[in-house]
Amino acid sequence: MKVKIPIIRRAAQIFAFFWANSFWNVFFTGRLYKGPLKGTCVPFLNCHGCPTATFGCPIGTIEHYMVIRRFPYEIVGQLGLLSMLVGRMACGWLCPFGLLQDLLFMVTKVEVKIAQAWRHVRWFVLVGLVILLPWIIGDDIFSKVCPLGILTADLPWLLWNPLDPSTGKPMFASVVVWAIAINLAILAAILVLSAFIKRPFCRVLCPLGHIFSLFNKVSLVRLEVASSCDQCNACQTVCPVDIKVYEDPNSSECIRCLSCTVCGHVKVGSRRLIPSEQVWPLRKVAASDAPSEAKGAGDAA
Amino acid sequence: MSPAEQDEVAEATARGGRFEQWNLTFRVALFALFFGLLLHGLLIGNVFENYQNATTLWMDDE
Repeated sequence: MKVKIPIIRRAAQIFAFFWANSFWNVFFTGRLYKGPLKGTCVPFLNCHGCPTATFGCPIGTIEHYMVIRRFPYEIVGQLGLLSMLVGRMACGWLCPFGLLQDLLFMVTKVEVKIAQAWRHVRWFVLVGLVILLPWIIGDDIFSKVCPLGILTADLPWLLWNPLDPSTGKPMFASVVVWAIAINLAILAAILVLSAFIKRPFCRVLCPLGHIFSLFNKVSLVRLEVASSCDQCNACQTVCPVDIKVYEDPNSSECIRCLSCTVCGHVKVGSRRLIPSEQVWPLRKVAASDAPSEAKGAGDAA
Repeated sequence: MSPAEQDEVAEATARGGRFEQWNLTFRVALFALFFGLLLHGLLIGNVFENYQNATTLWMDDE
């Protein structure tokens, strides 16, 4: 029996969320996990301030190293190696915030398309908010406004506000109201947008996704489109980030969710060490060989 | 396929071959670089700092 990819992917996303947030002891102690696992990062956004978090967040960690003005060798090596192997696959198969956006979009089924050029904003977020500003002003900026941090760390802690075992008083005696209000507004805006736009945070803002996306073109895992593709746009319809796979199978936007492989013309491949004429010339010939009737049908669809 | 198209295919194949060769070298170099960074981070205790970070960043209440 063939198990469908979307089912496996959803299971992987749910598993990843619980795997990264499995410190249930916090409900008895009111204390974050401080063990050695926090020294490693999961390859997706997962706030290490979440009450049940067992691992560090890669972006939070990079930011911290910028604040203390040291190079995060371990995390850069870890993310680089993973990206070289599978590109942005962690975004599609593991990220819980991606899962949330997918689910919100499925609820409304009303789609608003955005220009691919919006992806360039991620450069500003990564270079400006995660690297330069923390380095210059010595404070973590992105972590303070990260919507996932607001959802899984700020909100749970504030709503719960457990008693401090050592003092017997509530852990958060006072909050900065305007900061909380801004954070909630950011979170609400992204969640509302997610209901109408496919994965807006991943496509426009996510700095981690941007790091991964830099390696999509050289990663070992890749997508291939057969020369017989009639450009019917079935791939774009199922794509969680709304790309036309036949235009660029290894686009930096692709999160390697493999949903597009439902179309028989798209398949998963790996880099060839020996050049094969089965790969390169066919894409060039394909444009001229594609039957005009099929193209017309594709456009109509 | 006409002779002109055959020439075009042959040219594209050669171009693809050159690209693959460059791409392979580039990927091996990147892989070695990241492996080196990871190893260096592990050897100098970068992970421990990471652990320090991940547990203190949100512990302003203490």
